[in-house]
Amino acid sequence: MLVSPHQNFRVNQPAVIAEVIDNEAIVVNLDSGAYYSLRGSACTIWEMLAQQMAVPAVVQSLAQHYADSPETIQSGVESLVADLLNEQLLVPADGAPDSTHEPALSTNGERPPFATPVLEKYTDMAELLLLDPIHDVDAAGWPHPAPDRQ
Amino acid sequence: MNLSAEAKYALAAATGSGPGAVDAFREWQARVNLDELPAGHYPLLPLIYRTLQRSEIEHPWLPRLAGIYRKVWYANQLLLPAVAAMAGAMAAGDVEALVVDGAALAPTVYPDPALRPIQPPILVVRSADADRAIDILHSFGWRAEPDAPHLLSADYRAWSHGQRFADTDQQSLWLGWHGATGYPCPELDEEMHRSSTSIALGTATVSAPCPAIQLVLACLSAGKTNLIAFMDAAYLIERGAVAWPHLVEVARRFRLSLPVVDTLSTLGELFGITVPEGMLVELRSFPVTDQERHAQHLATMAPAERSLRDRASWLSIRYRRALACNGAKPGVGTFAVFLQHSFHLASPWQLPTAVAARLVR
Repeated sequence: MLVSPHQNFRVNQPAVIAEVIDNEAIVVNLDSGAYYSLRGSACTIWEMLAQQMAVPAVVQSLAQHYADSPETIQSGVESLVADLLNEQLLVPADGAPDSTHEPALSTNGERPPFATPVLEKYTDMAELLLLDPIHDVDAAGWPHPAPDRQ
Repeated sequence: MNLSAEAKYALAAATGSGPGAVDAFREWQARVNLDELPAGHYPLLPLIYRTLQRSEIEHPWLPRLAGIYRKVWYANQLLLPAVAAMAGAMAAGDVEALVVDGAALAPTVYPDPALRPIQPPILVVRSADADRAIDILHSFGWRAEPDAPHLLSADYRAWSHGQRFADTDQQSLWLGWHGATGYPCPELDEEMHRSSTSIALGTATVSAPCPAIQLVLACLSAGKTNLIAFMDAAYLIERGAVAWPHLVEVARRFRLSLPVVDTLSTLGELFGITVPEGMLVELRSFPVTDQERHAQHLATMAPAERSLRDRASWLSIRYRRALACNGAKPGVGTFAVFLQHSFHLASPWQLPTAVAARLVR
């Protein structure tokens, strides 16, 4: 999907709702019942995009925090944005990009490597609702099924 | 109420306030096995997760507790719009459906809707509207669970308080024709509808019992296997704007003062939660018979704790309450019908086998 580099986005409400819990963004598309998880750098990027920061501002913030080159970070961010748009979790925003939000990134000395952001997707609503979060999950907890359930 | 030590620790851990909650969590987790939790503890887990999250303590159970929170968040996000849609469809069909229990409380009095599992959400309609409500559910793809015609018959409804429905995505919904599960009473149902209020479920507005009636219902269902009802009551008192004179009047009129006092006293003992001055004194001043005390004792017991005599006694109490509700005459015939519908059987001829199977168990 081609997007202007200075385009900013918003969460596709009311069809999409999201919450950030323990550095993980969990997102659900109420129309389809699909559940999404964004962890690590993906969670950080989601938070920035949801605050309507444009991609260049997101990349600039991340480049100050991570050790990788801005080009590498930009590639990862654009790939995630494409996935989020394809899944209709984000849609283009009408207003001007929001430059008032400061990114919530800690910088305590060494800059960590930039892990490629990943959008994890779970589409089987019935399976998700049936998955027992105590007995049927792996060490990461629901919605990650135990190996013998996959 | 004689709660077990682990139930008290679970409730204290679920309140999440201060170091006492973390200490309670440690005591609780030392006494229970997460893989085989005692009945009634599972619905408290999102609240217990919040306690750990706030305290920033590490624990091997944390990933699974976080997963339980995520699942409740996900399920509630899907269920609440579905409930609002069904309540709206019923209103459009001229059926007043009240959203009760978790689906009404999670988004209104809990600090975060993901802290209160609502599966299954409950809609309550007047008994006279049940046929139309069932037709509306059918038209939206909901089917009785199990899908047996006798579970939707007027005969069955005269002896039951509701029926579970499911859709193709494994979501479920409970359609009730009596608001208080263990106390089927048309006059109490009418009072619940008469004093209902509007609440917001997402972008929709639906009808729900007023906070005073919600608190009465929570007190009626609180017990050893329904610990979340204590949290419902605690949050209603803290954030629900309960009209206490109305609650006292309902408790007096429907002879419900004993379960209300029992639950409110337990909340006071466990959490120091207090109700407006004089309310408990007034509630305690209402007459209570020995039979009512015995019924309350049995109602709050875990089913596994009941002896054979207790079970027979509890069955007899439920039978008498059903007779008082549906106006049938006591006798062998109506008792057989009561048992048939209690065991969800299509025919009374299945009773001997069903009773024998239960006795063996």
